[in-house]
Amino acid sequence: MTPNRRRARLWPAAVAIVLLTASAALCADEHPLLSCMQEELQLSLENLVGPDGTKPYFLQYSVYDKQEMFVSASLGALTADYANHSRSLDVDVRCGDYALDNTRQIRGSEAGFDYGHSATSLPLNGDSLATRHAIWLATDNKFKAAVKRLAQVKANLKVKVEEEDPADDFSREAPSTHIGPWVSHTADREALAARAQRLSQRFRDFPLIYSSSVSISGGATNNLHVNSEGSRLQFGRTAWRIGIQAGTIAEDGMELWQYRAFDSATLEGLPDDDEVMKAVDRVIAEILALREAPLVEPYTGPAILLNRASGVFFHEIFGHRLEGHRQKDVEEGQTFAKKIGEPVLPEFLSVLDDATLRRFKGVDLNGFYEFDDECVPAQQVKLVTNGVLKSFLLSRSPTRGFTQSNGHGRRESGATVVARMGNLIIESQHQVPFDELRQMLISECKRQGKEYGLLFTDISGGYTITERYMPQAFKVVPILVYRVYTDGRPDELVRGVDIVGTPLTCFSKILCTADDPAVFNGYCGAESGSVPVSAISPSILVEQIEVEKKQKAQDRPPILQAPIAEEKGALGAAQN
Amino acid sequence: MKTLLISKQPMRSLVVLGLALVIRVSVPAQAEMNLDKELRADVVLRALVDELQRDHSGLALEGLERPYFIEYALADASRASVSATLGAVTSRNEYRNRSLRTDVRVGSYELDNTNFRSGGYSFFGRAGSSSGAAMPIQDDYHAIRQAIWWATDRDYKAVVEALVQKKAIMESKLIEDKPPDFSREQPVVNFDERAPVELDLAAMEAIATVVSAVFCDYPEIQNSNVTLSAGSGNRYLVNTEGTRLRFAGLRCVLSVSATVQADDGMKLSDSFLIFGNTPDDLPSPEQVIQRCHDVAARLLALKNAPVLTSYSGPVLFEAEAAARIFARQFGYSFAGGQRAVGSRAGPDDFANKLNRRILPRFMNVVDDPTLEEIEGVPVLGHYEYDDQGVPAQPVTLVENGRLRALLMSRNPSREFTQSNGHGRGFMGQPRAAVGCLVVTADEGLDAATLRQELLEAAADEGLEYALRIASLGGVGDSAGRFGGEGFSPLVMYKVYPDGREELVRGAEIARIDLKAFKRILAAGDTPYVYNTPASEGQTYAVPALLFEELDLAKVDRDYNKPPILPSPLARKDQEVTALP
Repeated sequence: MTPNRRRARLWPAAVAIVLLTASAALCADEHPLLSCMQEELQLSLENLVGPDGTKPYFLQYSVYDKQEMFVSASLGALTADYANHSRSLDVDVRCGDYALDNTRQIRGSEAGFDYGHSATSLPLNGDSLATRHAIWLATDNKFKAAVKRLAQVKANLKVKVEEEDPADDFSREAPSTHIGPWVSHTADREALAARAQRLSQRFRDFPLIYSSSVSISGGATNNLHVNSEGSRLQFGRTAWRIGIQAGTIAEDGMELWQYRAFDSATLEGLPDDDEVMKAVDRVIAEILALREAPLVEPYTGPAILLNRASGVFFHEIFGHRLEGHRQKDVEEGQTFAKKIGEPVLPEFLSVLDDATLRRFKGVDLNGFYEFDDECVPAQQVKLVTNGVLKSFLLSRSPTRGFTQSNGHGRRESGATVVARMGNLIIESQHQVPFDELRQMLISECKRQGKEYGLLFTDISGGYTITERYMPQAFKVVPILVYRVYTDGRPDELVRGVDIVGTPLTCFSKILCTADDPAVFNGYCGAESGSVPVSAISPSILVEQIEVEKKQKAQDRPPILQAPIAEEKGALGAAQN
Repeated sequence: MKTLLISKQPMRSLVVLGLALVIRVSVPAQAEMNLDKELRADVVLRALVDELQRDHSGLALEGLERPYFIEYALADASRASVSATLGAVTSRNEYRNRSLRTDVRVGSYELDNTNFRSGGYSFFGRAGSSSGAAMPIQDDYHAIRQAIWWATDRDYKAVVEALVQKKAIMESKLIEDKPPDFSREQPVVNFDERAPVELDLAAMEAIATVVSAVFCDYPEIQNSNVTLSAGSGNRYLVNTEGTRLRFAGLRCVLSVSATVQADDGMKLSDSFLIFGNTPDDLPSPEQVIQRCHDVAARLLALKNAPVLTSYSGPVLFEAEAAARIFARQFGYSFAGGQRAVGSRAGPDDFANKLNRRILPRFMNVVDDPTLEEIEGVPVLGHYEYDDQGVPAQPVTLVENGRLRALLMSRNPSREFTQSNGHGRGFMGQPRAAVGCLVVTADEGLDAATLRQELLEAAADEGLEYALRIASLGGVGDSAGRFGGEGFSPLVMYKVYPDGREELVRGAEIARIDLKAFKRILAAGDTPYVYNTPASEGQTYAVPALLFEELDLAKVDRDYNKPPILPSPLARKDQEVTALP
């Protein structure tokens, strides 16, 4: 058992510690903006009243201050180099009461839930007057919209039959107070640009790779929240990424690409040049191999998803379906809405989401946070225990049987909060060394009479269709897939693989896992915008997966030789 | 520097009916030497030219046509933008980039892949390198060529396919008689001195901050914004006919906008734009600040002005209002060129109105991008070569009220087979557009006489008062059609026979059609010079216009009421703290 998992088991203690530090806080480095927000909040709460006497029962101001930078280079030359600072305000106003408020879904209308995007730009500095002005105006607009919508909600309730899920609209939570340090970064953009140039130079020797880049991006984000329940929060994080991208076109016109990323909470935590260069070389080797690889044949049979690939798979196919609001939204498929207490996975598997986890096996986790965007402390949530569904990911929007948030209400500035994943963790009690899992794959192939099984070593995030009116199908994009032959031939890379099938069946057919949990760090896009997430999973062996050949683009490879090939030719000539 | 003295004589243009040819000696020896020198010194230019020549001779797919023409447009620029509100910066952006447009044509000048619309996608060339190889922002010869090569290859494959489809549609629809797809023009070689690619963001921030602070004095102004955007760098245009151009410098725009809300909820917005080649060209902050105070004062007056619910009768448009309604009505109509195969004809197409009267007999219109200044105001629509490398030329569009010519890019029509130097749109596909449109009236009237004429027209209708519109206001540019058909003028006055004037607000004009312009009663003797950033910069110099009859009415809009709480600017004991 890893130290991380031990910590995970002790989750009530972990939560207690977070709460303790939260209440103990309030130190000197509080950003002056916070008291400005607090004062405006108070003024608005005390004085805002609509023409019909409606007052807000809840008000929250959230400020997201982002200082980001991005450098990218291709073939040793810089292609992008910029920095950006933004400070945006989100105002959440609720009218009505906790049981029924303006955020209730309006049934039978296209509007449904209100996922409107509206952030206000705040001044980046200067005196407080301009900031107060912006807060004042945004609050007035939001309050009027809330009053209007509450009337619509009430009218809608009168004309529709009773809802299937009669949960309240907003959960009551204890306020959080915590003042962490205001984080910043002092990255030397010029040095990072030089680094990206250096790393991207390697591609210049490979004219068959038609597009390539190495980018370094990241920065500091600070969150400030105050709400009418007494929450007052300041916390921040830094995040950095090195991305390696390469693309080419196979002779038959199929577009192929590879992407590798390194994420770290700190700039210093990023791997050194030697390690990144190794990854560049691997990307080069893999994409050139893909270019020559045979096309996949339609296949239904056993497969291994390597740890990180399995993490993406669980995130896309499983995790999104456990988001609380999907159990409530009448437009949703509600795959798991009524399956609490029922087995949804093999008995040896458990799934949790633990946003309090900072690091796993030395890797910084993207999905770590201190508080969610509704001021609720991050928590560890047991979603599936020994195969049985126990809970959902929950924001402050309660759903049947769940009245409290579990700290998963997240958003990107400007979006409306919904339940999202943080660090999704797959745990297995039936784990074997990877080599053994491979042997099991081969045995399973023989049992099913298959000549080969598939090994997915890399999957990029796909999209998941969760709406009810769409088929409950899913698609993730496998980037590296090998055939593992039963007769001992070496593994063979194939290209053009698309996974098809239905999600629930796929998960019930997991046979075993390896003992090699690893982290996939990424950014997840959904209704409430893009949020940083992680998935941790061991490699999994599935009894049956269905793949087909993907549609290929029609353009043929370039007609003329790449200029960098000519350059090499010219250099060669010069040397002769 | 040329200055246009607005004369009562219509200007004679070099190009009448687009038939005259501009005779140019093809690239003289001096230019040849110049070109060699520039190619040695400018890596971007060299990469463009070398890749152009290689792709032109080398691109071919078996059994399909080779390109007969390739053109590259590349913008190499630093761009920066600063927004400020109430003395504080709200956004600050700065980036350096190089963007490329490729125009690959297969077939021939007579029939090629362009002017074709199929399945909602228009094959007008494509902006290259958006995916695939990114364009370096450093002077790396081979890496730049790599990006150009990739974009050209993608473009070639798309246009080859488009031509096959186009020919099939033409055959199935029996389209035989159509104008050529592309006009033949003389190549030009000209190099501006390479401009530096740098901007002083701190200086820009200082300007935006100090100007935006003006509105702190006006708590009734609900929203205000000052944005200063600037670009600095060079643009390149090269094609396989031999055109080699480098344009230096980009532009800088200061925009100011402000909004008040009347007690009945009606929002009233005003804005202005000031252009310069660099932030140094802008008027002094004191002058801009004075304009902001004027805007604020006018908005406050309007906030309390009575609502005009309806009016039908003569209307005098002055200054900016006159220029903008003219721009909106005619900005696109004067653009000539053929319709794409597969698209439908419009009834208002000016090609059908040639030699017909579209304005009163006393009015003339010339588009002359060679003008640099009119009445002391710099012309934003000035250029020496258009975005297809054709030299700018004055074109007489309307003579004594009759439509005589259209603005032409290299996209010919049946009537006009050559470009007259009005192909605009550097990074988008160039198409015919206004450069500097100058409207004049024979025997134009001075302001006082014009107002007298207005009153007489009103009296003739039996009206108690007439209407004068001094400004359209609003935020953003309404020279284009995207603003819908109507106008909601900002500053309107009821003008009474005794000379008394009353400021009113609220009434809107649903539509002003061509017939209304044709029946204009009189026009002023001095143009208002209206600059807009549309189509790489356009200028409309238009005198005051007296319309015989227009209908205005207040439209009920779903306005929120004014804010419930008073503005922080109006709080008595507001503590002001510094925010890092």
